[in-house]
Amino acid sequence: MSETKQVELTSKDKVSFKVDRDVILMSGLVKDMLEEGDEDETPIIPIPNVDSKPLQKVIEYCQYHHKEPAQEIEKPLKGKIEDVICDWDKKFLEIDQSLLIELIMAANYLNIKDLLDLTCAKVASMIKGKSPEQIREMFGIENDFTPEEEAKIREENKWCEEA
Amino acid sequence: MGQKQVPPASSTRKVIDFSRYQQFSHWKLVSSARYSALVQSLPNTSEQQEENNLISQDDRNNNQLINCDHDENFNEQQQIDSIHDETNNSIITTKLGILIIKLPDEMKMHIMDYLTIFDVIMMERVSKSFNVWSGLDIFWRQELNKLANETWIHFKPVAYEKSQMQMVHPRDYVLLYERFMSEIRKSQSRPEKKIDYLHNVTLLGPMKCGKSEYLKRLHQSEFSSIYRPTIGVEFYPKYFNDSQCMMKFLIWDTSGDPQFSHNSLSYYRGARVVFFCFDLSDSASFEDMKKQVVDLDQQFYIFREMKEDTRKDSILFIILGMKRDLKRQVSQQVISEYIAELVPTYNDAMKFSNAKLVYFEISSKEDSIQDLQFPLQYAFAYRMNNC
Repeated sequence: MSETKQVELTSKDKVSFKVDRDVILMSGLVKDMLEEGDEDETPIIPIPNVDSKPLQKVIEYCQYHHKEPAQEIEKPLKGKIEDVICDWDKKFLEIDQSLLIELIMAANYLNIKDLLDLTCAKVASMIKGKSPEQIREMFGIENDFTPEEEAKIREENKWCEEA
Repeated sequence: MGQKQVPPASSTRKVIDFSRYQQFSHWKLVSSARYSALVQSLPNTSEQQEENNLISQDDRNNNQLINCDHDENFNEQQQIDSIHDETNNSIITTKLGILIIKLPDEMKMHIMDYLTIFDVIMMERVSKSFNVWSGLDIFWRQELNKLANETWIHFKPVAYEKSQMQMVHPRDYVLLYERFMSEIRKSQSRPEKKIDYLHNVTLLGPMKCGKSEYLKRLHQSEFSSIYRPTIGVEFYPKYFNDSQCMMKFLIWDTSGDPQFSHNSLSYYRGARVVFFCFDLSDSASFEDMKKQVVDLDQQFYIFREMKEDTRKDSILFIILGMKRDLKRQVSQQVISEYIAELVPTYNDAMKFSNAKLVYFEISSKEDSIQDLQFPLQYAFAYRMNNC
């Protein structure tokens, strides 16, 4: 075979990506779609839920990992996620938070389990071990408790900090 | 990676019709009826115009699903869009929280899988809208199932919490368990520090209900079904410690034999924790226990004390249903009605740490040591908070 079979993915904002068929088969959704498709052509697959930016990241991930499956990440995380993933993944995750969220959505939508695990574990790792104040600051969430309510919850959860 | 604008779909090139694969999509919330109505409303052609139309409608459909809120679809759609716009301009910090909060439950669950229960509980304090994370029933049910695989928590220890008529949320079970388990783990070691507090704990209850066997399991971790009546009273020491102090419980195992019953009641004097035990598989045993409670009440007015006494060192009563592994004759309904009757005011704002009357069910035969230690651990936590 002179050339590998390819697939064309079209993102929400109408940007298309040509990807090797083997690579994108990591996506359960695409796999299901292709099984019925005619293999002689280069099929166009619209991915109407995913913007080009996250889609490009997804493809990047698949290109690296379709040959080297990622190791499973421990549940629950014991420490920082950086301690349990490979260097490539570490670099891959150096993205801003909103793209990370979009990646989670994309991975879930395209049904790529390893990527979903990685991104979800990353968010978990960001939350883990942080005080409520730090979480608020990190995600830009406003504190909508009254001081009394806050004190009440704090009292109820006190044991949890000691543990 | 080749990146270019999509060429108009030509008739020679195969375009996979996305709509056929909607069923594979993971947005499980899509209403299939709504979707099929949408598909039917579209003429079945392969023109680019139609294709776009289909995609954009699907698109909107799916974006709405992110919101999980059908009443405010339109507004939230705009909100999400505006977040996306701002994302591109890197003005994201203020709105990112909304995106996180609005993740579909399925994905929240996935993220929470990587967190410990403690992390999840800490998240409760972030904001009200963030509570949806820790408020997910499915999460707690899953945690409860995990516990159930390791231990025997399914119906025990059933703390008599809140109004018993109300279903206990799985979250309450998990939290109660986690809370006391962490304390149990801490207190496993034998004391090296000096003892700060010594409390007497008395076990009362009818004959043969399993009081001695329970204590024996706690100390020797083996179960025997040979009945050996207790004569008079026997003592077991039990140590508890946390970071602040060391407490010793001297457990008085009294005889349930009526000929010693007069003595038994006198052991109540000086006790700071009193266990009323009965056999769940024997309704006569439950009746006997009730009688003992009445006897004790007549002599010491214990329930008057319980209702009126606000002293910090007041006595903790624990009702213990034994032999949970056998076929039960005393239903939970009966027990909770009885307890509600004992202390009519009990339901008022009772919390784990300041309830003066709690109910647990155990099985000395099947439960793990940690499970069996649970009621004592509760007593320890209570005494710690009230001494």
